[in-house]
Amino acid sequence: MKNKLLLLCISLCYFVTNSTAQVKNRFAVSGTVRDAASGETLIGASIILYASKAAATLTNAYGFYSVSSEEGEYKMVISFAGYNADTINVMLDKNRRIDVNLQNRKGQLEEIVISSKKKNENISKPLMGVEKLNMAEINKLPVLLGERDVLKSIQLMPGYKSAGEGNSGFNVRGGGTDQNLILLDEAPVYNASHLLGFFSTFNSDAIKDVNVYKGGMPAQYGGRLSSVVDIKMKDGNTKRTDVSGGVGLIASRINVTGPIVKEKGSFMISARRTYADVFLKLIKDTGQGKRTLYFYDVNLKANYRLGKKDRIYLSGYFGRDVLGLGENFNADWGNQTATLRWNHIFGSRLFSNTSLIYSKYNYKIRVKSGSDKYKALSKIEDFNAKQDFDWSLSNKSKFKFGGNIIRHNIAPGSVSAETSTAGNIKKVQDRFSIESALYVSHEWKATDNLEIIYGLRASNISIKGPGDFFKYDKAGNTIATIKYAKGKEVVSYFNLEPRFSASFKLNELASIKASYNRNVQNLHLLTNATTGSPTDLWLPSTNNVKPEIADQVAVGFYKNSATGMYEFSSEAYYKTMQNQIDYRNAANTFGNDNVESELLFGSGRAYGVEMMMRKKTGRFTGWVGYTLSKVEKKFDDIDNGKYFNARQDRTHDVSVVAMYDLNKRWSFSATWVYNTGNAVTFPSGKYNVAGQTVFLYTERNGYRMPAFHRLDLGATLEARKNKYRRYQSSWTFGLYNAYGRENAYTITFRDKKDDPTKTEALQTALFKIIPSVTWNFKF
Amino acid sequence: MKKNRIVLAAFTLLVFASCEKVIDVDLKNAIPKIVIEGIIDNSGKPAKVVISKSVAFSIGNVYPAVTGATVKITDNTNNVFVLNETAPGIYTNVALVGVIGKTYLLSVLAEGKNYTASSTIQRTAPLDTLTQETISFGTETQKIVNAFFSDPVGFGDNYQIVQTINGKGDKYVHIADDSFSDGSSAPFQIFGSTTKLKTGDVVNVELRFIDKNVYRYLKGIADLADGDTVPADPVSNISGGVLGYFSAHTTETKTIVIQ
Repeated sequence: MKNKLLLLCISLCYFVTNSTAQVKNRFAVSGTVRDAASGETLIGASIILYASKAAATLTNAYGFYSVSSEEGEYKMVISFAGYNADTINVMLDKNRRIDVNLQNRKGQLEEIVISSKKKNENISKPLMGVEKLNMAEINKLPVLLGERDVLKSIQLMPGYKSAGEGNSGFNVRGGGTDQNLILLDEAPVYNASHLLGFFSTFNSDAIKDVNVYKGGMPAQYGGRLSSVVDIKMKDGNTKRTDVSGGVGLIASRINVTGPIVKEKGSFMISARRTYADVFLKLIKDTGQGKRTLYFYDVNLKANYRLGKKDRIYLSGYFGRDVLGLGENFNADWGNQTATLRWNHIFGSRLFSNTSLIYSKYNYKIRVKSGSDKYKALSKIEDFNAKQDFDWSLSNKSKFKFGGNIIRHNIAPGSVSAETSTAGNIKKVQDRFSIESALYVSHEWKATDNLEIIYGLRASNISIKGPGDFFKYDKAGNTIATIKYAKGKEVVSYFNLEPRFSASFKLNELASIKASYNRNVQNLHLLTNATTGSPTDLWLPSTNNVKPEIADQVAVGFYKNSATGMYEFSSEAYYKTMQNQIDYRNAANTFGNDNVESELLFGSGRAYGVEMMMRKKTGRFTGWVGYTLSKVEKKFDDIDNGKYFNARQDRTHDVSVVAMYDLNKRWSFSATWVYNTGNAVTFPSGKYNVAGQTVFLYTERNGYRMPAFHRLDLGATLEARKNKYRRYQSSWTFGLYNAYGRENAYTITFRDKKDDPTKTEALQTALFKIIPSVTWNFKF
Repeated sequence: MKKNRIVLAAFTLLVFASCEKVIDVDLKNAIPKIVIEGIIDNSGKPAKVVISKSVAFSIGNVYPAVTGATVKITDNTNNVFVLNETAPGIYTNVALVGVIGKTYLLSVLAEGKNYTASSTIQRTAPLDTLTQETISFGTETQKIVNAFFSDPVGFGDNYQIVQTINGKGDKYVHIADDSFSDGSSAPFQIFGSTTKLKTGDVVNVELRFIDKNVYRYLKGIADLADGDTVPADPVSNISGGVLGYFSAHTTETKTIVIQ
């Protein structure tokens, strides 16, 4: 391990010294690129310095760029999809600071240029398995009940598979739904769904930019095995106050944004609330008391520029689901996050971001049972300090480095009695841990055709007392209990996570890429494998639970058409996963201090090929994605230690997305998805025990659910614009499951209702055709 | 806490109307497996071991009896009781009555293979009284029986509640532990029965104080019925690779007539 580190240091030093040697008479131009109308920074805008030899870069997550070249006169072209490009003459005789405002091409039909990616960037960049989602595009796609949803849109990309209909959980390249790192302004969101998964926690109105990674994760990301979903909120309009919103079938939303001090600082507030309980009122009241069911969320962000080199951001999220059934059962759950960030620019090449991040997910359940009243509480709470640097050393060499330290406090579930006849209630202990990481990543243009990103992430988790920790035998019986004092280390795990990806340009329009990365996960979600629930438990690595580790290799081929209209990509991957977790049979998971004794540990492997053909320009845009894949798991105590298909194993996955702009007012969209059914365990016989029919199972996931397919349609009508007024409005119409396919949500087995001497299989489908309409406004 | 899950699921279905239909599924036919269900209690009823076999899903719920087996129960004071086949696949011994504190060893020789299990009778099942309650669940109201019993102080007590309606067994395994009710006299709500209670129904409730391994097995059966788990055969307390369980327990019975 130490040798590897040493090697890395040496190679880093080599590149640094090698590059500094060339830096003589080189100067950098740096600055921030913004939307001219709103002052919103533009992420991923392209900056090219033209001379005999061009130098190019992209703006970072804060809209900042730095590009350097030899002394001389240059033309600098700044471009961003959907915006008019700007050309500036730059005299590079010293380091210069140039901030750029780009004009949005709004109202012109060309705005249908859908991808915000720079032309052919997909070819040259060594990043693999990364997708930048376009919010304008997401807003056009048809969705359930008209609630636009980032996490559902991701599931239309090859490699990202829905965990089930009406579920915002997703499986990436064979990984579990808990193996996705979902970040909202850098804060991890632990439960990214509302209403038991039917909606995601992300309000599209508040979101500026979404990047998703399914492989080749850069070293600055860590903590989950399968993917990163990096979501950034809008900063807010620095020029004028804007109010927008919408009224839909299931929810209403409002968004207010404007300057705090003109050109210096801005704010954004976005809120939404559902009224699902309105439907409940239609159901006959049985006199049991008030029934409630709704969720709401609020996104807040403010930023302020302190001079040219410093900027401060404060962002927060608060969301809650509330469900109640008189006084018998009441539950509420949700996430809270807060991020305080400070951007500072040292000189013209080194960009620094310092973040303090808070994140919490908790639930509360109150139950009345007879005269007893119980309250169950559970939470996971993080305090996180993070430092990141972007260093543009030269035209060919860029570094990212930094680190973070998180304190996790997990209260897996305390049950307390408000009034109870019980003498004792089992209490589950709180768990404390410190997770830390250091990383360095080097993006290096080795030759004109070869670009490499390589890096290393060193991660560590240390489990701390106070608390009793248990040792178990193979059958899960406690054999020892060890007491640890407050702050005393129980166990720690140190891991090195190498990351490497390279791209080789075959010509201007085609490239091949390869990547290898190792990811480590120290927080594990214990979930009943059938459906996610708000009461699923997060558990840190402990003396019994080892960190999950995944190694992935991938290769890819990318080709663009000469006009840039079409883009083709294909990637193949092979991934192994260690220390995977499953429950024992009949596990007691709720409020159990010995929940670790209910776990089984095994391994997994996943492999597949993904292909995507995309039409990027013109009135008609969209893509076709296809995935052929396999994912298997292996546990000593399941199926005699043989590999079995994981639940999320599906052989074929197809998605077709089409968008058509008829004219300035009408646009249409359609999505069609098809996939092989999930692997599932069905009985292979039956017997009688305790007076009831019990089904006999011979193998895990030996059967398949029926194939799933669904067509969704959408249309948007822009109201006629009055040139003299700011007010604008639009209507969005949707038709979910347009041809009314009854897709199997579950298949269960039972005694026949009318003839209990026989058994039958029962299929439940969730949604038939569901129409929706939403009215949106802006002024 | 199982009730919470049911409520959550019911709520979801209320809001998002779903559609159900009976379908044909092409299921494999596993090789028939032996099923042993052995019970010995302090009620005075004879000790009983029922041996049967599993069948294919597609045929009727008739389970072939396993005849000609040798069934013995030995207690921890080395008294050996042989159980005789009184009906096909049913083995009993009238002389064998469970005693609190004793551990019983079951030994079965069936179709050339040996199966063994052990279970201990721990303490008296403290059933106090039965009451009835009407609860509403979504749009429906339902009558249920509450079984009041006083859990002894100290964790680790496990119960099975067997409900019989007009002499017919309720097709649902009801179990309870004292994780959240240690020392409590709160009632157990007999919930999730497949038969709806009507006025005039005679409901017989038997409370069994069972041991941990039996509880675990029955929880496996209940979880399967609730769809709470990835389906798999529950881990039997009988070794040798069979389905079923062997339970030695105390029992207490009370009857209520539904008003």
